[in-house]
Amino acid sequence: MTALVRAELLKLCWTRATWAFAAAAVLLVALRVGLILAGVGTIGSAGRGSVDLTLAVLGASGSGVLVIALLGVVVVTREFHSATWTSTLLVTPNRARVLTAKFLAAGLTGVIVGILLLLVAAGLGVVFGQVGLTMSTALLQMVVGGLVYAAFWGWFGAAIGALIRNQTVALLVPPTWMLLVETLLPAYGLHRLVPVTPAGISSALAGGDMPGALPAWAAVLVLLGYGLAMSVAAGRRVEHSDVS
Amino acid sequence: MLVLTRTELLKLRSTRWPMILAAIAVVTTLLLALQPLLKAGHGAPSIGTIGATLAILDAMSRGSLVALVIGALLVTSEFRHSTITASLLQVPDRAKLITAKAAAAVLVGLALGIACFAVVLLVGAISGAFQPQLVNGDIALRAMGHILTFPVYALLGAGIGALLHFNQPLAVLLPAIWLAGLEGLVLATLPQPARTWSLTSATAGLQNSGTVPMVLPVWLGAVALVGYGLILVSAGGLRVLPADIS
Repeated sequence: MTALVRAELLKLCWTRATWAFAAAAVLLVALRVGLILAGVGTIGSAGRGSVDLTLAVLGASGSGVLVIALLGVVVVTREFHSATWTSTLLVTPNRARVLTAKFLAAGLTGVIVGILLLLVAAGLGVVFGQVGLTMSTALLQMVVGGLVYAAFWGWFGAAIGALIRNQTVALLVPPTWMLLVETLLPAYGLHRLVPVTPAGISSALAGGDMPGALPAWAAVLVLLGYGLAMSVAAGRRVEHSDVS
Repeated sequence: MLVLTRTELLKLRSTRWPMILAAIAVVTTLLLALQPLLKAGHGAPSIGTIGATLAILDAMSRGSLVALVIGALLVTSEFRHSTITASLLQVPDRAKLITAKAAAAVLVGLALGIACFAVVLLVGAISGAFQPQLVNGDIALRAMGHILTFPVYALLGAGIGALLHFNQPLAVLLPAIWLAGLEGLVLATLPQPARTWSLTSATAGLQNSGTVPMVLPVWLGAVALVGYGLILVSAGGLRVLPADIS
């Protein structure tokens, strides 16, 4: 399994799209941090050097989660898109193992990109002299929660890719979910569902004070449940699909 | 040109994805139109007010993104499935083919816009949110702007599809995410007068939306969006003309 995961990571390193996605995520986070720092001193913004500003700046790294999900989708769908799936299965005929390796590689990539984004956010904050990186429980929870969430979306994206297979359609699923479905739930009186949506869980993991938020351990369990359910469905689909 | 456009429309009718996307646009519009009804009087305008009428009309706004996706897919699908070779053997003039595709995208976008308008009209009429005595010139302009956004976005999609014809996922994903929120983030650092000419602001102008600061007049919003669409289609055409087709 280790060799398979390493092979998947190697494929990711060799693919231009990976670096394009990573660059897009970094740009997004830099932009978001820039906007937060530009707002310092205005009414309602966090004060210079305050813990709130540190949390806001590091929290901006969450903007890259969409890109991590898209990267996860690409980990699987590019095999179908570029017709390399057949040769991959000729080398490793056990499809479940290949898929598991892809999920692990996508999750690991999510963590790596998540760390990169946290470093970018923290670096920009420190360079511009307005953010103090004093370790606190809130900061630790945000960093660890953010990385767990990044790993989940990498894995979940890969599972979406395995389930849908059509790269174009699969790539549209995460943005549709994050930008449309999750934002509309409260409007239909489905407030109770919000804490168990990925966005609600993200807030719980990062220590947000959302009403009805799950405890961190429950949030992790729910995320695992989503990931496993999606992975099992994706595995069944891939296991029985024709490969020519 | 007429025959070519009809051929493109036939291609769309005989494939599954345009129908699925059209259904998604109609269902999304329906769901969004129900939202102000469910919240009426509880933080949202009460039924029978102009506010409720506008809120239901605005339910069409997300459907136009589907028109954009259809426009992009109309061009990129040929390259994705390598049917562009057969198409060009029939019509060697690539500029004519791209123009026909853009024209077909506009027609499909218009049809989709009218379908989504019919949905909001139906929801508004059944719920009593649309009162004939409340309809004035501004509301008519808003409705017309919403309908016209669909074909204009389809034209933009066709242009982006031609420009990024080698990468269908990118051609579909990039404009959809850009318009769904990325534009606001990226352009937030620019001064307001420059942002007035962004796609979102020009769309707000076309839709006679008074909620956006320094919004363009309706006609100027329409001219700007059509101009962007034509520039993209022309640039895409120039990119497709010398492209290797095997």
